[in-house]
Amino acid sequence: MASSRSRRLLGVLTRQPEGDLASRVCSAAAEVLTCPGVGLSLGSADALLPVAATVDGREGERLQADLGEGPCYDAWRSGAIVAGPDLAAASPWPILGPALLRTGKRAVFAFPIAWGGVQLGALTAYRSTPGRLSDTQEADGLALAGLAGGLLVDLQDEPSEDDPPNLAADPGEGSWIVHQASGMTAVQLDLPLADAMARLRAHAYVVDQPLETIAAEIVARRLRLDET
Amino acid sequence: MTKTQHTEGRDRSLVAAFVSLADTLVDDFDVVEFLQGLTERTVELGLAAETGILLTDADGELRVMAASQERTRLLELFQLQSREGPCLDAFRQGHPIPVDDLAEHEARWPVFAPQALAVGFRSVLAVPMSLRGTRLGALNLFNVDVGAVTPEDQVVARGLADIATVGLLQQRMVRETQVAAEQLQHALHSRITIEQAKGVLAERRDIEVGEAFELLRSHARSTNTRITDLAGTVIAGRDLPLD
Repeated sequence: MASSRSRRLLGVLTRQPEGDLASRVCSAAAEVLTCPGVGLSLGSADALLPVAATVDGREGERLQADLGEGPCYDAWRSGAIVAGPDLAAASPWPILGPALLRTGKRAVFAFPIAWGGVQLGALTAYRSTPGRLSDTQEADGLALAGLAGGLLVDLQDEPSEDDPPNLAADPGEGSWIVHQASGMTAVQLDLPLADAMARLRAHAYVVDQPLETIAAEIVARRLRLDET
Repeated sequence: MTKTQHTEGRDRSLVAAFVSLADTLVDDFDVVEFLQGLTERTVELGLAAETGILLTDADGELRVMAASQERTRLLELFQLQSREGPCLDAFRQGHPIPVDDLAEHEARWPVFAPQALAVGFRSVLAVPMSLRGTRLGALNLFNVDVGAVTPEDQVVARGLADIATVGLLQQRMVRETQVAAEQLQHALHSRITIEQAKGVLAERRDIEVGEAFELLRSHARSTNTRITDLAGTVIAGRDLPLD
């Protein structure tokens, strides 16, 4: 039995323009939270993969994925709403906060996506003005993230025995190349994969390039971190 | 004790029984413990001397899931092995099977009836556990006296069977939801592992990541290994076995 909130949010979801489910969830959240930037990331083990975002939410999602910190990670791990209502006044994220401010974002809110007791990821909303969300907006964000979890789980393909599994929401080639690059770097530097990923992130941060760009250079063998 | 007093005492225990069953429907739900509790409640309520529960497993096969005492467990097992008995009839037909005197039903259940009589039971009430077409199993109340099960007892037994059914279906749904969510997460994790293994293999063998994937896939097929497992082996520091 859907509550009236769920029914209303499902209505908003179905009204969104064509697109896959994750994209619709993002644009629906942008509407109900009055935050133009929204992104959806799914997580597994220690990696969080950006799956979909509104145009205004892409940079924030990329920054969180590249830096490996942010409200998205916190909401995913804690299962609770995480808010940074004024990044200029106080940011719990020492690197991400200033980086978001440079892209014109002043406040950020993340809602956990969970289903069946499993933490699946988070929905993050970005806004250029400071201030908290209203109680209704917080409840809407939570409910929308919950709906997203259920729908993503329901819509996934049957698990296959062979080949890479089909995903309900594919993060796209760009996200995968980062993991290919971490595999190559792990061999080159003789490091565990997690450390290799940290080295990639650090390098991308130092040279001020997106992680995906660095990863593509490594996979194309135009860059090796042991030569930098 | 007057009839009224007796009924009031029964009502109180009944409420307590329902509450204690409902209490087990929260966190840390354990199916076996739940059903064991149900068999004990039926005995405490005086509905049965002993109680057994048959439940379908994942393949739809009936299994003995709980019994208030060991001899009841054996009787239930006999019913399953001989494929006859009031419990199976209640499960198949979807309505309660009250048996006032087993001695009159040796022709109906030639294997079960003599066995039940031999261990000292005289009457049985079998109640199906089902909800809207989903058949889960049956609850069996064994008594030592002829005609021990009153119509009132039947109503109470059905109530207990119904609440147990709702609890089990709910638990099954929670479990299925969790499994589906874990599958989604597992799919993501597998994909990450495969991508990492592509990178590791490409670097070790000085090939392109595309070739590395083909190598992984063909090796997985020829060795009948799941590609995710093989990828896990590769990133754990071992190369593909040389072929």
